[in-house]
Amino acid sequence: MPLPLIPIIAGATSLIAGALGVKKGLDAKGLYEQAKSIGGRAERRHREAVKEIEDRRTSVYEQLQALGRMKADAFSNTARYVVDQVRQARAVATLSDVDYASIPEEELVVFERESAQMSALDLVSDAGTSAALAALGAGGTYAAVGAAATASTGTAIASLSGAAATNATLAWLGGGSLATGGLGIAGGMWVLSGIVAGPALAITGFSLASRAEEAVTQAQFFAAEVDEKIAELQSLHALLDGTSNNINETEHALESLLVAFENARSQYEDRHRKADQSWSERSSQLNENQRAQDIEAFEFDLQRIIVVFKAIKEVVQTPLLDETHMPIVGLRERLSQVVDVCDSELFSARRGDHE
Amino acid sequence: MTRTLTKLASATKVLSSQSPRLGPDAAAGIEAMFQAWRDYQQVHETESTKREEIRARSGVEITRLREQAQLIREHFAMIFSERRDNFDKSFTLLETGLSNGDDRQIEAALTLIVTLVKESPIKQAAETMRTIKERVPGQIIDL
Repeated sequence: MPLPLIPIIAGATSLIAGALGVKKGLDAKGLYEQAKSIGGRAERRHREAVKEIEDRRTSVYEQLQALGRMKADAFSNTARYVVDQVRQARAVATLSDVDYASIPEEELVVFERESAQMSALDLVSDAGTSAALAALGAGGTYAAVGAAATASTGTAIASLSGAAATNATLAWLGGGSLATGGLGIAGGMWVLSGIVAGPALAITGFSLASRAEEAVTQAQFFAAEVDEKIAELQSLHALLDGTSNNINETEHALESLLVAFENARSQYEDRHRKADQSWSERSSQLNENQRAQDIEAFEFDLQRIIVVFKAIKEVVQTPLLDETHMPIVGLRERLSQVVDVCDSELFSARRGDHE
Repeated sequence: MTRTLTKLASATKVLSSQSPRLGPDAAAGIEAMFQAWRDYQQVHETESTKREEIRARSGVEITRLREQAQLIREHFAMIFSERRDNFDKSFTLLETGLSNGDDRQIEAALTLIVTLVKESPIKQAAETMRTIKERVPGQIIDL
């Protein structure tokens, strides 16, 4: 009797298929979790990297602001002093015919204006397929049974109709009616549900697993993109560190020039004090030539102050980062591009996970 | 997996041979499942290959980017070390000039300081980065 074995084989086949489906479904779940985990880790790395570069950028920006303030103060203080001293000296020189024309009046006016502007200086600008296939497996089997089998009552199922045909079919699938020792209609329902669920589960499982494989690839692609962007940020970190060093050395240079300015200023003021004292003590004895020699000595000292001041002015007016080659300006744009790319990739990966 | 599915396919054939009228639809269901498995296998292989390619390409790109960053760091280290020496020399010259009242020394020192400040190491690095980016394989870049 080979026919009664068929439901058993069909049921067993369905069970195996169902088990396969469940296994592939679980595999798919695992793969989706893997994809989600890859995407999540990449997202965290991306977030941390962007925060790190933003923190560094902020810190360099603050350094630049501090340098800007230092430059403004340095220029304002030295320019004011130089303008005052040159004007005073010129007044004295008029009396003695000694020429103090190393800085013309027009230039002094410019210094005054620049000194006023300096305070405002801103040096930093910133599963239909699987359902269809499953339907084919279940519906096809059901119809085949109806066409091929003979009801346990001995009547060809195909000749039955309505509920009787359905019951006969189900009973056949169950190994015959209970009366003939089979599982009957209940057994048939159980087998049929297996036949429906088995291939459907298997196909769904394979389909899910395929999508999950694609999701893992998509997540890995996203993670690779993120890692590349993070690696790209290393160059920007290096540029920011370089900018920071450049700020430090400019500060150091400016400090040294200010020390030199103070040094020249003390020499000049000491000479003035001594001369004032000497002139008041020896006024009657000093002739015009001696006064002129003293004034010439003042001029040399003042010239030194002016030379140092001009160096300070050059340093103050030299932009650390200019708009044409300034990586920090590009950095802001590049950072936002990196964030945009990562965000859109992340959005796609998430959408892939949800589909 | 392959063995199990082959057995399922055999079972379908048995069903078909035992009951020729049962055959086509039942076999189609199992065949659909078998096809789904084959499709999955193909997807698995394709995606595994893609992932390998992504890993390999990304690995190469990340190494290139890290080397580029390292090169910039080394370039900066070299530039700033040289600049530090020059700044130190000019500061010493300035101090000496001021204490000796030697205006020529003072002017020389100030000129050197201003020149150093005006030579932007950032600009140099940006140019270096551009040269590195435009570099063709095998080309030696003179920094």
